[in-house]
Amino acid sequence: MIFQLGSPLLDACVLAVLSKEDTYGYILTQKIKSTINISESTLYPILRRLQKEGLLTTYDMAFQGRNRRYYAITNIGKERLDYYIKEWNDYKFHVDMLLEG
Amino acid sequence: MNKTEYLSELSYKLRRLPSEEVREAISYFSEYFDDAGIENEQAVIQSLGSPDEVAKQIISECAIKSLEQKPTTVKDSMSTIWVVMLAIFAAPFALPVSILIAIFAVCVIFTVVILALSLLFSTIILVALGIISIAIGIVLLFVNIPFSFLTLGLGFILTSIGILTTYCVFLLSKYLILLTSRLLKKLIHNGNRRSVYENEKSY
Repeated sequence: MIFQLGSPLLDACVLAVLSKEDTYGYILTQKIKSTINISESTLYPILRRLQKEGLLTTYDMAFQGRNRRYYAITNIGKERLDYYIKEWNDYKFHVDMLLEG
Repeated sequence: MNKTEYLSELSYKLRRLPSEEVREAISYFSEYFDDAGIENEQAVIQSLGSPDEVAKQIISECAIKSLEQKPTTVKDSMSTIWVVMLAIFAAPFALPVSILIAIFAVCVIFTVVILALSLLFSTIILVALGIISIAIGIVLLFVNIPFSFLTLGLGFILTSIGILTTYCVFLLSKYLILLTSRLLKKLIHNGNRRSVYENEKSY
């Protein structure tokens, strides 16, 4: 993708993936990487920030004798995601108007 | 470099952050390696970037986060200042614009507060001088009446000007501080947006 992706949009992508199902860091990164070109370390600071803002929670599950930390979206997170989707649609609409209008 | 070496270097680069932050980061990346599988260890290291780069991202994010939180205690504000300083020394180039703006903000706030305090102090001195003149005037009343009246008059003028200006300066400082904080909040907000954009460029 040649277009820049601002941090709110990346936040939105993370929240959107988590709104489908809880998942852990590796899978989350792979899912987002399949669409957007991010480095594998990009998501950690974002996840940490979203967690501190209360948009995500975490819980731990044992997997093959070790710990695996799952991320889950909270209600505030869902509200924020709705807001981002609305903003994104607005933005998309106006950019389309400019490009194709 | 293998996973263990990578993580220990990362933990070394993060050593000045609060220990909870370091623990969280290390356990995240340790899990990440495990989930990627041992056969992908080198690929993961390649894709993550150097421990130094990863540490800079984490420290910057920590700094921005603590800037946004309103410090309520002296301890909070000290830790904010500490993390921000850390971010500057760790990553002067990768540093988001917002932190520079924030430092600028801190300087401006400091200047405004000092300015307000010194203005207030000087007007208070004016009042004090007036009161002393009045006192001297009263004493002189028994020695030299014309001179005493002069001193008394001067004292009254000084005191009244002092009281008036103290009040004005008080209002002015309040307004100045309010204005500065509003302005700076706006600045930091814009700076954050820009820094986000600049961060993305490096991805």
